[in-house]
Amino acid sequence: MVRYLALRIVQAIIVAFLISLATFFLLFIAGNPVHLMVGEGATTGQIAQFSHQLGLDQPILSRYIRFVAGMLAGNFGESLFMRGQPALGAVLARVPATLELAAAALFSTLVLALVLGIAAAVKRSGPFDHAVLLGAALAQGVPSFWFGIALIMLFSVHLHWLPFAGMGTWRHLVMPCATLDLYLLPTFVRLIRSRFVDVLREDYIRTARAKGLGEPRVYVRHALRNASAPIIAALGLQSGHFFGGVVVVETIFGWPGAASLIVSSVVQFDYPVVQAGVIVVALMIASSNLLADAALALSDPRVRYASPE
Amino acid sequence: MAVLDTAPALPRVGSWNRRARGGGPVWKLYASLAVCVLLASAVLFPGAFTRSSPLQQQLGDRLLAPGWSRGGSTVHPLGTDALGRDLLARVVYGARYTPPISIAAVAAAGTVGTILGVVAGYFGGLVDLVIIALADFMLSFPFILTALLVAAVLGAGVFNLIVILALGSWPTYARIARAETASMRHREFMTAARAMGLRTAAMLRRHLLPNISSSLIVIGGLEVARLMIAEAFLSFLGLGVPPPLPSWGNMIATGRDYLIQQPWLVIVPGLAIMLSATAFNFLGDALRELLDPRLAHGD
Repeated sequence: MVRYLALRIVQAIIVAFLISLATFFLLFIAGNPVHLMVGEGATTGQIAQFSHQLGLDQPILSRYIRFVAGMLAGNFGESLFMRGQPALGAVLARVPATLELAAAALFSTLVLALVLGIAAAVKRSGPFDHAVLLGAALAQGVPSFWFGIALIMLFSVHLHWLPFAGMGTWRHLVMPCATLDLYLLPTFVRLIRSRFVDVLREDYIRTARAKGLGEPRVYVRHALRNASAPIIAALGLQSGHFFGGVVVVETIFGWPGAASLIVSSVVQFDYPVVQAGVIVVALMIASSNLLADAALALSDPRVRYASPE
Repeated sequence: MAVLDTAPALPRVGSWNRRARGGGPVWKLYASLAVCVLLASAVLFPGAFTRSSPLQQQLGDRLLAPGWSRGGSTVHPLGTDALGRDLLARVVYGARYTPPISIAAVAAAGTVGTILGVVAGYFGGLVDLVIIALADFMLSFPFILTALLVAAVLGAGVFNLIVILALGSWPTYARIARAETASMRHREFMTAARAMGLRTAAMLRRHLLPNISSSLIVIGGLEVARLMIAEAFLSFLGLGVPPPLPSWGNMIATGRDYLIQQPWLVIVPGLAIMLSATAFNFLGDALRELLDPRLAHGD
């Protein structure tokens, strides 16, 4: 198990490194950001001087080596628009907000999805099951950025119940969380429902019922325990998809997290912040995959003792 | 390498009817086809839906309310936007962007992804490793961020948008084509084709591809829906279809500033995206249940 996790950590580092490489060359293709920074009236001399200061006039290979060396030391350079702010520091300062949103959304989605998914699986092919599946299919077609704006329209503009942007109190969290829930629920509910349908067919469920256990106990102690491993494994694979939703929600609700910083830096071409942000996101996704793996190993002894593939 | 033909291999009519009679997915199929016909006619004959031009500005008629509300406009059934442009015309002409762009992107991604997936699954070895590592690498990173980065670098525009969306979709195709190919590679019909002395390209195209195509078609519907939402978001951020072209994402972005005066500027294009995305999701679901009962979720 330790060997397996170590292997995964090495894998994650390689992936993060590749992502940094891809971002670096992508931004290199994009050209010299100095033109955007200095504005229209700048002379060629000023541009050259600025480029020299930032080391942008050097050949690509030496720039890349400097970039990797800086990255390993945690130094991505300074933000081009927030004067004097180190790029990595700017991103890291906004990670806690992202984690708060992610944790709240993940928790609420899981609770809802477990309730809906299990209830649908227990009465499979019944009216409730059909309603849940249809609801999931419909929710999947809702653009979440639009749903977020629609919520703002209803609850902030018309009813004045909730603040339309920012973070701080639980009231700020309601609409971003609901938007992410709607985005994640279709996948989560279908997954949980189909795992439960499979598990409820197993012999040990029949045995549990035969020995006189009540239905709630059968579902929680026997079915949920056995269904949880594949659910956790599949959710681990969803972390990229999940973060895509976080990007949308932070942008719409002005949530001061890392994702909205990356979006605004991409639009402004603040490339040190983009580079730092992309690496931070890649590492966040890799660590949530690792967490899912660890949770999987804890919940299923077969995984713990199996040799890594 | 020969170009693989991704023409769909439909199942025999008999099997289609038998499953269709069992009820279930057929209404989804008809509903989604109806929406597809509606979208196609909006793309081809927008004049049948509206007389107004989507770009004509009438600053005297700014932010008119829709026809059904009190004091609403009679000339503009859905009202007008902040520049006095007819909302109905903009939504109708908007059908020329999001759906065709997404379908083109899925066609491109499907072709490239299928070729790469079949090659990886059939030949295995190092080729397989490289292709799948690349696909997994792309799938592990949020697509919307990749799209944002590439869009910022390439610049806004319809063609760039298709390239960007295809970039986000090929890994799905490659993974599925690879898995299906690997499972078919040693089946008898493949051995027979090989024994007949067919060249590899011909064998893959004529014998392998028809057998894996149903999964690929099913994914097509779901991918079009996913990419439509992604396209709308990119246009919303100003990195997709450039304004003043009336793409649904652009319309939501500009309408957002007038939530109090004219909420329909945001509601209507959103409903258009939702209707189209749901139609393609249903199409994918219905085809999944009709073509490939193994994949039907849950039971």
